[in-house]
Amino acid sequence: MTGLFNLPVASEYEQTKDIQELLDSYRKLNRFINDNWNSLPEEEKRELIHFYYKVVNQEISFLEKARTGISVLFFIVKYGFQPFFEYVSIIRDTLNTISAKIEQENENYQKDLQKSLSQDFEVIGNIDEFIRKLDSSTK
Amino acid sequence: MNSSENWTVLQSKYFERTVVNLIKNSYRKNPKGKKKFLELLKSILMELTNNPYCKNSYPEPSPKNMLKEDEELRKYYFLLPDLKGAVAQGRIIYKINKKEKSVYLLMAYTHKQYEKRPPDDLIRKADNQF
Repeated sequence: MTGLFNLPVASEYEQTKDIQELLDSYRKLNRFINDNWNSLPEEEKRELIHFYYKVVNQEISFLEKARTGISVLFFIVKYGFQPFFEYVSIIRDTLNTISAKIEQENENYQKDLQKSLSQDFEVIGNIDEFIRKLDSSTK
Repeated sequence: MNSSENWTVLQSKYFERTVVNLIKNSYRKNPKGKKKFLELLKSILMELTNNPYCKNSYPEPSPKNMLKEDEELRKYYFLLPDLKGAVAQGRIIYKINKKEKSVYLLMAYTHKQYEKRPPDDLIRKADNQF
């Protein structure tokens, strides 16, 4: 958890692990959360949920922002932009995984999803017209 | 613009209602934000027309016995313009039928509608670990 939130610069990874190994470990963590959510201890799930809302709602202190900013700078200087973009993408995927699990555990979500699957469907055809229709029906 | 070029996109009254509710709840007093959202929605629909397996979409588990053999569910993740937090975390759920090469739009919502926050004491406890 700490490693997810704080970029792994100036840590034990710096000298001992290759950046791709590090990125792979985060990918594995994302897959692990996705595949094992139901069997995770409640406390760990709550911490992951808290981590998600902390990031999404930007409930981050000045100290955390400063620390992250410095870490990003060192990370880019040490490894370059491409690994940084990959890192951001993995974090985004992990946040999406956690949010999907939260939504799937909500009874109302399951009810609404079932309802949405039981509808009659029609071809949209012209997307511009569909957008204009939405515009006029929300005025 | 015709959506039949690659994948055929279909929608239901239910999907349309979820989009209308999303717009009304998110942009009641922000017409510029609404305009940006509609432009974004248009680009998402065009993207799904070209490739429903695009990079912002992920597999989504389906309720039991609700899909046919050639069907699967996916969820598209996007950020609502001019908003922050859980209300800005937009989702569109859709069903793909590979045999028909069709995309069925099921519902649109924000994470806020199905959020779950831990109790405050657990938030404080977790904060101490960050």
